Amino acid sequence: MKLKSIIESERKSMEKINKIQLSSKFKFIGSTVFSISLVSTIILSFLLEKSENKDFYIITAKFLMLLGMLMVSLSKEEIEDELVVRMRMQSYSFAFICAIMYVLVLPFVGYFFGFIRSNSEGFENMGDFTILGLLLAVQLAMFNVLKYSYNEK
Amino acid sequence: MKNKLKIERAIVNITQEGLAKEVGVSRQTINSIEKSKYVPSTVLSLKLSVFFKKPVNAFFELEESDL
Repeated sequence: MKLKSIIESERKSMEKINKIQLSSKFKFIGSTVFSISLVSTIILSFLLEKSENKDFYIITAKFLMLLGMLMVSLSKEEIEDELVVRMRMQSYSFAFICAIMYVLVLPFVGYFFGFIRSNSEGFENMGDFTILGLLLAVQLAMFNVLKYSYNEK
Repeated sequence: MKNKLKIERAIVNITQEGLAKEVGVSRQTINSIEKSKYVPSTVLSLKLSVFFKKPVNAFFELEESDL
């Protein structure tokens, strides 16, 4: 009985979490934050080449890039109906599988090319930014591809 | 699943946009249903049934592959 109530409350809280979405205005705000931080990352990496604070600025810009993409990903469409929910779920699951495949396959690709070039730096560590950025980028790209394909006359 | 949504829409002379507004979805959703790209939920099917004043199976039909 107690286990059932725990499962039920878990299900309810999961449903609440799934409903967390930002207003459609955040699509523009997120895109702006992402664009500004992307440009700043590129500019800062050239301007602050020998600066001590370079890493701090780059990490902040990367954090803002992820935040911007997350905002776009979580923002509602103008008309949020069941087809949009379905497309969003499809894009999230596709992105999730892509990110796992990336993590599993890429070290071997790196190792293979390292082996060809007689380089021992085969298994490189992948940063959180790369994986999270890939996850969000694939999700957003897939969502837009699905939107286009369902919209085709 | 086959559907006769386009025919039903033509009978009552309503656009995709108009029907979408009536049942509370986007035009894209109505277009996807008509093109058989998307199978609507029970709730949306019943909303369409209320709008067209016809039972759901009057405009949605199972195909051989669905059985």
